[in-house]
Amino acid sequence: MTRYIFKRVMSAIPLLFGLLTFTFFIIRLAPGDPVSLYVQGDVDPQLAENLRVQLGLNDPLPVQYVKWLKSMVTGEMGVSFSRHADVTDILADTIPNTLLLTVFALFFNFLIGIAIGITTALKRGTLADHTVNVISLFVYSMPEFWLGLMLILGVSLQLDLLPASGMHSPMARFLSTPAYIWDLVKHMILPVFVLGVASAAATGRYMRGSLLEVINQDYVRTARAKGLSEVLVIGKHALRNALIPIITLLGLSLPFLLGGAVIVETVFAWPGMGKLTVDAIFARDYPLIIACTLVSGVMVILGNLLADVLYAIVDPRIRYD
Amino acid sequence: MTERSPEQIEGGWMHRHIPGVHFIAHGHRVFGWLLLGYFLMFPVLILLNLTAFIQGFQSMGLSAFLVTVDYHHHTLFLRGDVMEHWLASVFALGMPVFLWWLNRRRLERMSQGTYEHELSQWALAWREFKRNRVAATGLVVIILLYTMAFLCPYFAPFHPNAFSDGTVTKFRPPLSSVPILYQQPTETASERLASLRMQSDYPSLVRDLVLINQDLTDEGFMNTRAVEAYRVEGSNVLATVGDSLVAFPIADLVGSTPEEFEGSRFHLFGTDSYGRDILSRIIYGSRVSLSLGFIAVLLSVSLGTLIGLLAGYFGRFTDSVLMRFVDVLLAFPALFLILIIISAFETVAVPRVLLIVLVLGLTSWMGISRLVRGEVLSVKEREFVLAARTLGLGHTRILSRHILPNILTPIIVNATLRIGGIILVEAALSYLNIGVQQPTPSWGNIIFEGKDFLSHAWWISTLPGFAIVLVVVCFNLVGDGLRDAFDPMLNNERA
Repeated sequence: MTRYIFKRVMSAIPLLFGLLTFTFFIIRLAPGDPVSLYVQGDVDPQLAENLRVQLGLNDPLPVQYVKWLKSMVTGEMGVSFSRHADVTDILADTIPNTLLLTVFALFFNFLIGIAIGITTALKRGTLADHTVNVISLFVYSMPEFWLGLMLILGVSLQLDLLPASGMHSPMARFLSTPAYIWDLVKHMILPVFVLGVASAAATGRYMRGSLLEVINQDYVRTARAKGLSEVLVIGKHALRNALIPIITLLGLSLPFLLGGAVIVETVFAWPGMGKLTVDAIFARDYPLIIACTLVSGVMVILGNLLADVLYAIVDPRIRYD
Repeated sequence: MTERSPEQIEGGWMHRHIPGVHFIAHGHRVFGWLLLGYFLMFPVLILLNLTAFIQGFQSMGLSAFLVTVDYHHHTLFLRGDVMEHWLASVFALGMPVFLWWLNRRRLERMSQGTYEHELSQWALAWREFKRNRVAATGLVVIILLYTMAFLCPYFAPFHPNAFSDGTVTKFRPPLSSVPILYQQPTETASERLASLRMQSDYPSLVRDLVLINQDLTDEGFMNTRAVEAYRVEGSNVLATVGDSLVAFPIADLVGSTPEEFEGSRFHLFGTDSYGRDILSRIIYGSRVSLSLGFIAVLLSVSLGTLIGLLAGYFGRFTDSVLMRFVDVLLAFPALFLILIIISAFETVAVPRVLLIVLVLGLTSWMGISRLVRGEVLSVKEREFVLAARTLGLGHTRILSRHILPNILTPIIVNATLRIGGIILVEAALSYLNIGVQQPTPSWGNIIFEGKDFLSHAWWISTLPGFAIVLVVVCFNLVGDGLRDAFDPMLNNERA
């Protein structure tokens, strides 16, 4: 097992390398003067030339590439020109905000999804099963941003129950700690719901299939035959095995922690990575765009890695050498 | 089904020439009526829009002629909005002809007695699919939506970009009608034409073409004034426009009685912040969403299949290189790769729609290629591939004739399920305002436009969303239905 994990970690390194390379070439392949990637607006030719020398843009491409790799690996992501701050600092500010949103969304997704999956699997063929299936189909066929807007329209604008956007109320700084947290929670409910609900529908569908498959297995029949209560049969015998594929799904959802909230953050004006990326794109702030892409790319690789390792731990039937 | 004698199948003129009649007569009622209804829809639509239909062909013919003899002025005839009308006319004529031909061919095959016996995999799957009511309904809705997308000008009550008198017409809620006054034309078509000063060997043809094109692309709001209310006072009509009272001399209006100069415009889904009709914009927006989704999936499926085939078939080095490349691309979170490419290539002078199609297609093939590779790995070990290789067939032939046909069904199912996803991504891009740009309507950008007016004009953002949900749900249903139809084993298990 240790060897398998080691091998798996090793194989992630070329991926990281590939991610960096690919990003470099997309940016270099892009038309236009690379100087415009670092300075905005019209630049006088002499200054542009100086910059070119200074940034090493006159070097041959391989040299530039190696330099770029070095700066990325050492964490020097450059300076954002739309926010006039170090990219690393900006990321350090925004990543926690995104995580706050996505961690809760992930919980929501799996709790609700597994609950839905179990209910529909056990009540297969009933009206409840069909109703939930139809609702799931509609929910995951829905654009996130539209669902978000509809909730803002209904819950915030019409009923005035929850705030429509942002992370804090304007006066939040002056609130006592519990009131401050309550304010934050109120701002979180809608985005977390929108982020979680579509994936919960998918998880539920997955869980339903997985449990149905397990329920027909011999060992479940054996458990029933020896007179165990239905709760024990499902909870102890069937569920454990049915959850194995869900673990993989969980691992595959990890990258979503940083990359999945682009749309929802934009809709709810949540100051996280996703909104940062979109803003950076509109500002043509390349150092920031690259940094966001890389950070979330690294997250995907780590997520997949974790999923594989988890899978190996959870399912002893699979032996890796 | 028992065999039929040829006379029975001949069944007279109606059976042969009107698609659907034969099926109704032979027990396939639902399918028959649907086919018949769809077939008859075209003549009805053509009759209702006869002028536009004929003008579409006239414009196409004249342009074709003028382009061959006089290429210099091609920018004048080859305009996107006019070509949309050519497409509509060709589709309105072509589709029923195609249906008629298909129907005849099938009846001919039936009468030769070959049809019922050779039930191919496809025919079996089709039979299975038709039994699945939900999926079949999805397919019917999709066909109708695509038809609507091709024939936008016939379905939309107004031109999608037409607006006038914004203060009066903007933010009209659904089901509202706006009173309008018809004015005397201030400028005749020939006057407008005079300013076009064409230098051509065929001035009269050019003139005809320009006039026809003008008719086709006329936004329809010329010489009308939208008002909130009006009353006749002496020789003037006093109308409320916004906060002010405007007087129109009756002499400037068409006719002299209210019956003659008064009209109204009905907006089923209301109007947006400029006063453009939402229903028309949604209908025209279906063009972008439906065609983009389809073409992008076509592109990504072709590319994914090609790469998966190569990786799976040749294995070893090819496989490692291609699959590592796939891994790297998959390491980018869903939207980020698309966002970074669009932002890098934004400045390239290609139409935005094309850029979006390319980016969507080129960033979504990885899943398919993994799927195809897996299938190829299992198929290539089978005896028939070995046999083909023993016969000394080339790689290309083995891949295209022996392996590809055997892995086609999972590809088709996957592609269908993907279209919905791509439509959602396209809408999301439009919502982020980096997708298809105004004034071209797309479902995503109508929602984007309406989001700032959510509190007092909810309908702008709400209604296009239902269109998206409808299409994506239908594609998902059809995809699920296809999967079940192609896989009878799975079907038994589910029941």
